[in-house]
Amino acid sequence: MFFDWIAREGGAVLGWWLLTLLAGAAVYPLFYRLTSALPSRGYPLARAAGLMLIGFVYWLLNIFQLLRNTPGSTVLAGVMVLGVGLVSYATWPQRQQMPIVPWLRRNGSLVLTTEALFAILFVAWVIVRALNPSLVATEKPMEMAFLSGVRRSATFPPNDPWMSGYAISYYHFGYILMGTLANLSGVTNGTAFNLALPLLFALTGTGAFGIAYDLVAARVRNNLTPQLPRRFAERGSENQDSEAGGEVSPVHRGALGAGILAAVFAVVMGNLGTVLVEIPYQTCTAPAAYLQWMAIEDRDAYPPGDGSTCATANSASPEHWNFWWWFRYSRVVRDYDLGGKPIGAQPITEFPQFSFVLSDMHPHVLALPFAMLSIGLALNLVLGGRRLDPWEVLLYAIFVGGMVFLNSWDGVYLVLLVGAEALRRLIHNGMGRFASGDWRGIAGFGLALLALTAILYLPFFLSFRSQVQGVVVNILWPTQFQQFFVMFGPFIVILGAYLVAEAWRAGPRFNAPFARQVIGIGVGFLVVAFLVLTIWAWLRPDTRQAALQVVDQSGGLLGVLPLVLARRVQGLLTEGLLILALFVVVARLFARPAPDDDEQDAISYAPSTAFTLLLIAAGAVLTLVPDFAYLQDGFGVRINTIFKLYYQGWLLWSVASAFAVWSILAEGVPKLKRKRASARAVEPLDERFVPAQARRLFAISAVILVGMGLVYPVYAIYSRAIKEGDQSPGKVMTLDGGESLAASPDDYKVIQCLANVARSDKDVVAEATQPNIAYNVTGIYGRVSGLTGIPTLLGWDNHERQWRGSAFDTLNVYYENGQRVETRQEAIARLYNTVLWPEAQAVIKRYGITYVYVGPTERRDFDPSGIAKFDGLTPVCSSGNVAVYSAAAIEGQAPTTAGG
Amino acid sequence: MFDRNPMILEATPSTVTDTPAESISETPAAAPGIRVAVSLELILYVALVLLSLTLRLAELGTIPLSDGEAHEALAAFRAIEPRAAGSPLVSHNPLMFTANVITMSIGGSDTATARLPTAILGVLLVASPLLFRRWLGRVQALIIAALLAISPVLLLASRSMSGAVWAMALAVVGIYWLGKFIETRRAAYAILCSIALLMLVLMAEPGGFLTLVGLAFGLSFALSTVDDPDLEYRRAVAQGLRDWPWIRAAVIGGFVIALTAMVFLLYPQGLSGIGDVLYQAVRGLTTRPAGYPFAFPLLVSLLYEPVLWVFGLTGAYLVISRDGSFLQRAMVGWLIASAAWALGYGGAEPGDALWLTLPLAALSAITLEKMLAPVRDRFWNVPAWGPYVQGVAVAATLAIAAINLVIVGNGIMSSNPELLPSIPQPILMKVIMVVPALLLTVITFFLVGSMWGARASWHGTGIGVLLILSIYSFGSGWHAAVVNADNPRELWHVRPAARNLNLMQKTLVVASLRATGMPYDMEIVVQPGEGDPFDDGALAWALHRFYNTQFVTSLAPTVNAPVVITADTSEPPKLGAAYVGQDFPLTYRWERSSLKWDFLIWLYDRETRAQPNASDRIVTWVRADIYGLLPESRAPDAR
Repeated sequence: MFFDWIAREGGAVLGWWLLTLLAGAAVYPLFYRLTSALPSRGYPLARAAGLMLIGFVYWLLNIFQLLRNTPGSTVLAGVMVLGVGLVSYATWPQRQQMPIVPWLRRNGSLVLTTEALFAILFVAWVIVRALNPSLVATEKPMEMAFLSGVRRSATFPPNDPWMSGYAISYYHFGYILMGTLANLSGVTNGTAFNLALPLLFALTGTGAFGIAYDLVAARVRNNLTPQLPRRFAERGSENQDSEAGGEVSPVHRGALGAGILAAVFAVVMGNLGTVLVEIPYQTCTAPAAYLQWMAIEDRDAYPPGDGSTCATANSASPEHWNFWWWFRYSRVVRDYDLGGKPIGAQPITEFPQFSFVLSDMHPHVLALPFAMLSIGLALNLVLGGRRLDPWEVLLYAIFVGGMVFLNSWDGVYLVLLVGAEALRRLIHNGMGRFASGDWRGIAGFGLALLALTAILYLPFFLSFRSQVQGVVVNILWPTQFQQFFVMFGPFIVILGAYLVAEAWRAGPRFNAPFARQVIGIGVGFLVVAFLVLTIWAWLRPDTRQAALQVVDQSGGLLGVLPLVLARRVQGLLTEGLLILALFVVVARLFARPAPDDDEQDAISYAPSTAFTLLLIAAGAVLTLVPDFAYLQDGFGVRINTIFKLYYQGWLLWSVASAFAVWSILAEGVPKLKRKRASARAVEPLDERFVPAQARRLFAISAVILVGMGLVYPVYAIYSRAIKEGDQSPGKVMTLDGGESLAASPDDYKVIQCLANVARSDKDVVAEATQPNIAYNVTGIYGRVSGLTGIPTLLGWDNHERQWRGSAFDTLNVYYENGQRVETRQEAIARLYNTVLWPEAQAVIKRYGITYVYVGPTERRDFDPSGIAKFDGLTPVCSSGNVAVYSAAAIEGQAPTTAGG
Repeated sequence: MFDRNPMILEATPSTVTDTPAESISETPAAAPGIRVAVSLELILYVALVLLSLTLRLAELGTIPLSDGEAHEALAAFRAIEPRAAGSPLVSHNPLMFTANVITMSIGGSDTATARLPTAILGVLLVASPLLFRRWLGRVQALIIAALLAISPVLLLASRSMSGAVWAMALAVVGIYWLGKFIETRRAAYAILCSIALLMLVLMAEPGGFLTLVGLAFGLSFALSTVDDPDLEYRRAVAQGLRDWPWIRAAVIGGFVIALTAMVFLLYPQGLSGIGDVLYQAVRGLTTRPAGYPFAFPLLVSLLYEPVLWVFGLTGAYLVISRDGSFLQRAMVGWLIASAAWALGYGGAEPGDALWLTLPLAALSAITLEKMLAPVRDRFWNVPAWGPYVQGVAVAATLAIAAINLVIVGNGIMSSNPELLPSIPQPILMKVIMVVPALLLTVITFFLVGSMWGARASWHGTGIGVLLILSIYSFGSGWHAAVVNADNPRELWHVRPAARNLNLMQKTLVVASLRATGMPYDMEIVVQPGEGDPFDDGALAWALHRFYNTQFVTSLAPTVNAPVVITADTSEPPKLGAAYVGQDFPLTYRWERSSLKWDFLIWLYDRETRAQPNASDRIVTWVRADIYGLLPESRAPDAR
């Protein structure tokens, strides 16, 4: 089975690997120069950078109609990037000191490890997908529709396959990136979907690896290079470069190890739900009170009887666990109304490993590798220790600003970048505080970045309609600590220990008074913001009504207040810990000069340490925010705010944790100390070794917690790929999951035929739809448009409403002479149900339909007598009782009753 | 300058540059007014240009465009004509596309105009050795021009909108500007060279990058084999690389290329063509177009240009064995690389046989220059006319042998052999006749050798072979380009468009005049066959002037356009009026594998037992009332 599959689809896998390698190679001359401050010279991030920059050039030229959406145009965009990169590299004054090829040769171990890691992650997840390539359920049909639409559209912006006549109104850059790869490789849409996910998995892992590698390598470099300027390493990496023949030194080993650990944290490790909840629940080893305290949905009580005892224990093996058990751990935070009843839309606590197990190709997954790229660029800024040149700011805006186009929530990386600039200035001036010029510089950098992002991605912003309706105060739903721990347990312990270590390392430079001030101001600001938002919400009639209703139901204001206070107390531990983390970070970063220090220089930490602290703080802020406010979208609760902010928190903490593990266990070990001493290196920066006992304790704790986190992928992958996959004896491994979206094999055959026959960009296909269709559809809708990319009148209307907001209701209705004629659903129903040709012809003409699809869903949903009118026509494609007809044939029918 | 630079290669004795023509060209500013020096050389060049112009322009518009040509022509036509039916197309040859847009804008959009820029470029390529006259010598340059003028591959490529012609032209001017840069060290030449070479890779044809790699290989081959004890050549190359204005060349080159591809900003989407070239180039590494034989360019070159192979390989031998110059060695290297691409590059077109033609012509010129020169021998006094007389005799004997072989081939073809041919007695006599004819050639060789020595004898034999092979090459080129232009038994034509398309066009014009009173205003509905190009290819080009053409995937039963064109199927389409159909072959196909013992006659005359089949037939349905073929009552009320 395996070798047969390799023979069939190995070429496609190899093709994607090669294409990403070429993308990385095309951008590398430019990226090498841009990331010259990174010890890895951006090599592990180059693939993602290549895809993004080529994709950007390609998209922009398409938008301006300079290119068409063809594979050749993608190649041209790649050549343009390569050309600009070569010119940039050739004009770089430092290229003589740091030529690419000798550098690559000397850093063979890094290059090989990066390539091996990428290949392992990519192939491993390809196998997982090939074992169960199904694209059914959740939002995969929508994602497939976007991918198909992007691939098929002749020009950009791409057609919305689920709303004919309109372009996609969603952050769709990720689909463009994957679509261009798919077009270049020539694979089917179903295969492209299942190749894109492993690619994202591998790119994210490799990106995390690169950042952690750079953090460690730069930290070591700091101690090996002369200290003027004291906090920044020399541009370049002489100490690494001097290692002949790519031999792996202890320095390299530490950096490589931290890198691999970061990759594991970022994309492989899961949350602790499996170990802390699922296994105790399945094996009946947990007291009922424990489950109740954990309060995970469907796992807060044992099922039979009164829920106080467990009746039948399953084994600890997922073999016997119920269907999709792994999905539950993307909902580990639970919110209740004041009556103690769980609210309808619970917060999503997705993490990358879950995303890949679920295999939805949603924008937050598509953005993962580029989030890592953004973090890497932020690190480059800090390590560079100098202001960015204008061309560098432009590239930063393309890369980091592009996150908004990939997944608008990831605009937080623009903020992170501004934070990195602030950090760079803080380290550079050495005073432990910002001078007034620094404030201006930071603001200028931020404004420049925002302005460039707005200009570069203007075509997207002009057509994009955000679902966000504002910021809402969160009064009722703080995150309980035990649930927060289930989600982030390993990171809490690792980063907590690291912060303690850093506070200890800071010694007298630890600026507690300043941190108190900052946190005090922060909390004050929070309170003021809280009040302002509350007043603002109160002024809105809808929220005021809702609040009054809650107050009334809970026995008036006096009845509500104790309930609210009690509820807020539940979140105090989480919030307190996060604020404490922020306190340590601020006190450490804004250091004060040590009393016995001759130099008027307060900063004694290395840039790597500072950047790690920045990542920790950023993660803390992101996970703290949803306890106090959330963005109001179509759901009205914090479901998406938790989802998107926790998700980024996971990424930031995964990288920070890898460095933290290295820092606690390996930073300053005697062997290194000896080496440094013998190298006559300068006085190391804040090098207080963590005592051996503490290191041991930490190591044991970390191993246990990380081990617990790794149980999730083992169990979930087994369940998803093996147990839920095709169990039939003649099972065939394949990456083409397209057929799973069709209603039957005949259905799929005809859809494929239609995709080949319909060649015009103006084609519109009619297929069944129903009102209020979202991911929970009972039938199969939007499949023809989704699999071919040919726009249909209306696919999943709930999603269209979500994407287009209030405009949807206007766009969905057809008006003639100012009179409402029908909605698109009604038009489709009329087309299929009517027995009168003129009525069907009117619908066809009105919406420019070129093909009418009659498959199992249409036969099930519509009047058989209406469907029967098509039987007399010659189909364009048919198989079994599935057929697709040309609208031209229908238009030519005489104006009589069908069949008459 | 000449002496200082080792890249300027030792001219052969007969190419000493102190010629009157050279002197004139060196001091043109000294003379007031315009002076034209008419020399035999100039007359010969003019004659060659006129000959090649005639060969390229004759019947240029009467042979329908093949699918590939039509794609290029339609891409340009739709870019300039907003009323054109069908969707915009991306050109595979952006430079040709730009040229076509310009010529079509000026000269209209007929078939000849579409082919004209490539044909003219083919003529310029014939004259291009003039550029290298100082470096190659007058005689060699003239011989190369002559060989190119009669080269079947260049003739065919020039007449069939082949991107290879553009690639070769760019390669030639690139080499020229490279030489000028080495001579003068002027940055402008380097920039021009860079632009030409960038265009070669990005704008000429998908295989353009291989031409560049071939040139680079030629250079390195020359560097590694030339006698260079003082490393002069290597130093010169290194210095040249250092002096090269890389950044300016890249920036200016990129700008010029973008501007050209966008037809000077008039057609911004033209940039996509560059991408398409690159994509096709990469695809060509792994994919061979359907119907193309393995090593297509090599087979084409061997079949149509034996004269170049015979004398080119001899020239290569002479260069390698007798201390050839740097440039000559570079030609050998280029030939080796080209042969490798021709053998291994799947995406190669027949026109890419030009990869071989140019270096072979240059190497042939070395042989021919020696061969045509008077024989100087220490022991024999050879009259200048001697080898020529022998050459005529040898050509005659070889012609006898060839004619007999053709007769034999014809006989074999009619005998319909299964395994071995059963040759009838009269035919067998012809086979026997071949032997004395060849023997006569050998006898002549020895006879002349005994009179004037072996050297003279070789010269005479060579001249004979040159004569006979040149006639064969010239004839086969003309046949393939004009007489057999729609004959798939010509190796060049894989899927040629049938001449009947012209007839169909005329029919449609008449029908349109009858239906609308105007020649091209008639509404036409086209449903291409499954697997045929949709709104592309030979049929789409044949209809390109009919602006009211609509391409559809299925026909409605109410369609009542004056003309409906469909694929030829067993079932006539159900249409909204009475129609009368006339079928036309769109293309012809022929199975190369059917070639067995009729190989002999095919080689000479492209005749075979298995005849080409008219494939991809279409039916032109003309509404019956257009020609009044039905009673008025049965025809729909058209007006």
